[in-house]
Amino acid sequence: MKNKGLHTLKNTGFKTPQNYFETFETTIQTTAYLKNEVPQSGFTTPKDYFDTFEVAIPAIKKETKVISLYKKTVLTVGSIAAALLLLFSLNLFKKDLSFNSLSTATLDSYLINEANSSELSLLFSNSELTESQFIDFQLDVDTIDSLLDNEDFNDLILD
Amino acid sequence: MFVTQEKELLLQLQSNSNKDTAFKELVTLYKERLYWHIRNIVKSHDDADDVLQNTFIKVYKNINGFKGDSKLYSWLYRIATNEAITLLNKNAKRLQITNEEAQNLAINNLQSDVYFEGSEIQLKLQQAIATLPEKQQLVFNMKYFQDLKYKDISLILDTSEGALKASYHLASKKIETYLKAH
Repeated sequence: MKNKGLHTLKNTGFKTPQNYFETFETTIQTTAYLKNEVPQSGFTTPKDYFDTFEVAIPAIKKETKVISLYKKTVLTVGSIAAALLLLFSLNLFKKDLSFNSLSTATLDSYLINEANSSELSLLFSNSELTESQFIDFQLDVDTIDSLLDNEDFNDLILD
Repeated sequence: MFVTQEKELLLQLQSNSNKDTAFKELVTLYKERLYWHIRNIVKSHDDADDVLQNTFIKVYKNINGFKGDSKLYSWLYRIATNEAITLLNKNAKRLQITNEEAQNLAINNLQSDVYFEGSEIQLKLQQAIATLPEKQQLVFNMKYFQDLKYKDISLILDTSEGALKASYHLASKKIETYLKAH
């Protein structure tokens, strides 16, 4: 097989960085000058420094297990706080549960929505009720006058 | 150190049973090289000793986290370099002066340093190095005094070999000019 183009190759294709030979020469000359003038740094060490050199490794403390603050503390404290909040919001420790502590609105609501006539009848021990039991005899004259002044007698007549 | 030896040492360093023995071997192998690398950066022996200690302590503590992506020795050099630069920054901060001022102060102190037996020209060389930017100083010290290969410096400083060669060229020319002028 003929290498037709071989005779046409005039160089190897290798290249050097720009100014390589100039830089190389000056670097060598400069280094030679410096080495001649100052071959050593002049630094010395104390006698037997390298023979006696030892590394003092500080005692490494035994590693303790790292516990995640979020997982342990935050969750525990959070759970306790939530439980306490729930406990107090449910009024479990409210001792005053007497009949007198009930609000009028609560009683009204009970009587209208929950109670039936048989339950209401249990509230009254007397089987025979008289009109006088519903009359408040403690009314003074001024109160009666005030009631009468505000009353529309036309309504009463119509009733 | 051969790659296989380095891998073996690393395995021992990362094992619980042989860690301390392997660590002693590591210290023996690298203490001098790392010391001179650090010393060229921080200048004083006491500072170099502190940084060398800190470097090895850091290596001991973090060896299990070393994944072996780079060579062990380049990892050591990187830690040493970072520790040395951290110390320089701390010194400057403590004295409330700039890093350049702190470095000039360290070089001026060399004249009375019992662990510097340098001649006048050696002191001038240190003064000339101090005029260079930080990266050029590192490259020059590693190449000139420690004769490290560009390939190795490249791994330590995480810089391309081409850039390192250019840095060294510039640094050596500046130093030559400084020495001739002073």
